[in-house]
Amino acid sequence: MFLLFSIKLDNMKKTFVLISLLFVFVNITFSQEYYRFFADVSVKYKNDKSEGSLTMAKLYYDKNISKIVQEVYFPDKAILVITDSASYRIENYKAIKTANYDPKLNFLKNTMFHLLLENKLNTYGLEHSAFKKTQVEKDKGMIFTTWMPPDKLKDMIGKVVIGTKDQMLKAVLFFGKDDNLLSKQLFKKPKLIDGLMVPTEILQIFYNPDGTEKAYQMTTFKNIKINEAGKDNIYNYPLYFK
Amino acid sequence: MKKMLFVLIAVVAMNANLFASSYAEMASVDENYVENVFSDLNQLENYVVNHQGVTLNQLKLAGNTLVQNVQNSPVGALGVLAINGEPPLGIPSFLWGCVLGWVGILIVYLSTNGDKDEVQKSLIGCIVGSASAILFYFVFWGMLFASAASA
Repeated sequence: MFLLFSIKLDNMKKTFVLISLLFVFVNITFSQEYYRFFADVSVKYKNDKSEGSLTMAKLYYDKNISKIVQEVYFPDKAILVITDSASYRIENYKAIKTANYDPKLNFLKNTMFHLLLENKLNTYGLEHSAFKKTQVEKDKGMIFTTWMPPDKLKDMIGKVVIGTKDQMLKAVLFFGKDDNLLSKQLFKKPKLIDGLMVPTEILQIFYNPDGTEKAYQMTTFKNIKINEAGKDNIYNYPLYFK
Repeated sequence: MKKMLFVLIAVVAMNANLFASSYAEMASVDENYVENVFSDLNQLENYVVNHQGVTLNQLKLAGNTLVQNVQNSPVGALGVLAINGEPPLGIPSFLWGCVLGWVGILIVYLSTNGDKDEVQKSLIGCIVGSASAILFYFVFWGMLFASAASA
């Protein structure tokens, strides 16, 4: 009797493990995957000498193809393509390389677009870096998490402080090695688009060493589309070199 | 005398907090001031949206006052942090800072102090790619499945 009971328990254990694994597999396969981001982007910049600039472009990113494609239309028309190892300008359908960089930098995986599609914007991607989380504090309804740079960067750069509210990224504060605020990014006007909370405005302020403001940059995203179907020839813009 | 010293220290300590900016204060901004900073560029943006295909050169040649303080080339973060007018690593300026995350910010700031190759080398060791996390995930579940099958 006891033997029969122990065999039944062994079978039950196996069944339980297999059902758990099936549950995980189904979750991985069928959970919503975000892989494409499109927006009409405008970037406005103004410095302390009142010099300004405006750049407007249509921006396409597919995380599986690993390309950022920008159809710039102001100040002038241009098509720019950024991959994990190089950036290109397209002239007469030919790709002119403008820069090479090491793929180990994982550029594209650390962009706001990629982090957004992976639902990791609220940590700014720092949890997959060599930065160390050292402090978490609450201040006026926001949670501020301090990330210290790895030893090899401590002589060059200071801490990064991420501010979130209701699990949404609201602010990123960048400090120099002397604990002076170098720059801050404020993520504003979030919109829910296809299940993703997307900040539609990012204000960045740059500071002089004496703490005075050096420049402002405002990036706005309009007409955002997530997982846009079609337009494969744009998301995977062909790079012809001859 | 001791009491006075104590009161003085207490007053100084309380007021010291008034000078230290909290993170919440640093994370705030005067919205009206920002609106004023960008008012001319907002007008230019609306003009471009309503006049599809217009370029900066065309507006300058026409003497349009909307562009009198506008640079001929995209400035953005590049204007603040460029070396010799070149964008760091050749990436268009407006992608820096906002959209290239912490890697981009560091490259831009470090580029002002070191050459491109040194900056890249410094950063590579700081980046643990997400690929390694995914690999761990599948190895872990693979092992669990294997032990369940052999049980």
